[in-house]
Amino acid sequence: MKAIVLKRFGGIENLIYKDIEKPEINENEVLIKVIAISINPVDIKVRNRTAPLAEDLAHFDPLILGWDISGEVVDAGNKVTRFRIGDEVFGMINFVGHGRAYAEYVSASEEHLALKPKNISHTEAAASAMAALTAWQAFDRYGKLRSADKVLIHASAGGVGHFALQIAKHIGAYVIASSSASNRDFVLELGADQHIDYQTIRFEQTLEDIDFVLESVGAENFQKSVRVLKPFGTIVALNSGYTIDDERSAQAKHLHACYFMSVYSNSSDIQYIASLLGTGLLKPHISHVFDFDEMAKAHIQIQTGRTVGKVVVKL
Amino acid sequence: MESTIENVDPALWKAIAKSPYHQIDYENLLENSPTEIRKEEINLSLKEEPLKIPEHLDVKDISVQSADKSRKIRLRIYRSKGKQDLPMLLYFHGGAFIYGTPEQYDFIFYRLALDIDLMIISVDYRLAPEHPFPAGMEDGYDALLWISKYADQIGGDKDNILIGGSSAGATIAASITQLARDRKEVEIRHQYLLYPPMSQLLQTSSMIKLANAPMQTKRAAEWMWKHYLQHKITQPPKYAVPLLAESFENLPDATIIVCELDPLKDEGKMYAQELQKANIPVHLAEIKGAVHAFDFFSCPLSHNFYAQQIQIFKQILNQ
Repeated sequence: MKAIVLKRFGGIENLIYKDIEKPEINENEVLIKVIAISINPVDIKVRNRTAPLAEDLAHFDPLILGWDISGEVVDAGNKVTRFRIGDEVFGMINFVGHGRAYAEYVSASEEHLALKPKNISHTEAAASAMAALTAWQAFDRYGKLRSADKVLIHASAGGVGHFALQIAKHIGAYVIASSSASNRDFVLELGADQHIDYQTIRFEQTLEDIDFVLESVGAENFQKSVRVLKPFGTIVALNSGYTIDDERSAQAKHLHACYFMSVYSNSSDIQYIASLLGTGLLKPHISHVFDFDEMAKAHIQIQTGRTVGKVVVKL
Repeated sequence: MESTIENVDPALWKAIAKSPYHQIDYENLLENSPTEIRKEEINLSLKEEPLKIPEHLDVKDISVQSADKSRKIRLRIYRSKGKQDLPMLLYFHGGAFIYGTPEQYDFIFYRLALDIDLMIISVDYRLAPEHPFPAGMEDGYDALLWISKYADQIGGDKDNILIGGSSAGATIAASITQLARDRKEVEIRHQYLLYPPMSQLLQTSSMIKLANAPMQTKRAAEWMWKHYLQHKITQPPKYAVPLLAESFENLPDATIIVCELDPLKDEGKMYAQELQKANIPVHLAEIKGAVHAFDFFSCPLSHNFYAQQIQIFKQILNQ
């Protein structure tokens, strides 16, 4: 089968197309013929060795990036109970770990998958794995977003952000969505109650009494976010690299803080995402679709840091 | 926002419902035959698979002399093999002053002692109602003196002693910080208090709003204090009730963790406030979606908390 192997950590030139053996499956796994792969910022950060996860994966040979897939089950181990050959499935495979999704076939634990809802395409399903799980786990696992809460979502037009906005609305919270002015209409259409143009408005000077901040910008944005939170509020940060001063600022306000949230593959969470997608309560927005032989372009698009919604690669 | 029972983390709630310990009728037993709880817990623990001690961990029980020469106090020590001069955490298990054992924390301390290179010394202190206050605190204080004096023998650093506890164990730990401050024999660097009961008055707003919360009710709290303080409950002796201290000056820095859906949370916050008024640095955090003793139930919330604890301890130790 064709796969994209990461020859060494570094630039896009290290993404090498190779013919390798199809993966073997164990008794709890299924083999999936991959139809769509979604690309996430962590793909780039592992490629260029800026994510802590890169160190854990360094010893794999071959090292194959990618975690989000949608596709069809073509083989199943004898202890697999939830899926059968022919089922259409999607999910985030083996995160935090070696996903091996940049390939024509991938093996996956059945715990990491859900049936793809019939009303959405493989492209849409692949787009709704890691980013949607991150948003959900931020609001339900790492923090607790409640219906009476006011939530500030940074980068709300991005991959995680646009899912977070929809999930927060579904929970019933009052959503303040931060993005550039060009994405104002996009986030308001997704249901944001209030928009903040981060390029012209200093949110830390205009907002206060926020219950929950989803922080995905990094650097000084963490402490600015702390400033707008209520005492005992919640901050969940998605980026690595928090500082001791960040911790102190959050502690001084007695926040429920998660300084570096890590999304994880989990059966009940992906099934919950599937149910939201199936009922139309959650809709992925896909701004770019590339072919499998254009993986480098997909990486460059994510690297801009200005992608609206998701980037998907189709096989 | 109003705290309600519906806000309990669903995965935590599921894990609690599934746990065999959930079958024990703690509230009624606390009132009618408190020591029965020990038996029921032991019966359940005997049915559990024994935990394997990690390869790099030393776990041993030692007995040290109590101030009362006729008795010894058992300490259960967890430490990574071959390391010297480790910071020492003197720990007090929970259990309403009445039940609980150091062993119940093996599943946490086997990992924690390795993940942060910390020696954990868990005290098998005397329990009420047979041994009301000050028995538990005295055992703990004797243990504190012993680890300070013989730190070298166990590979600990006598200048780096932390104290901690869960629930009623945290009450005892806080009492000891006050006693140790006044006696000036040993310096404690930090107090780490998990969901502590801090007052026998039970009149805080969380105690009233969350009187029937899962895992900790107001009624259970009433009986716990009655067994611990007995006829002195109307005028508790010095050190017995941490919030009644005359002075909070010169106590160690503190980490206080309270749970959003625990009736005890306001007492924990009040203690934090008193310490802060006395200019003591306090890290106070409230775990959203959590109930009393949530860290005993396997679910993402408690796994996340474990990771958070490692960060907190690393920060305490690097200060």
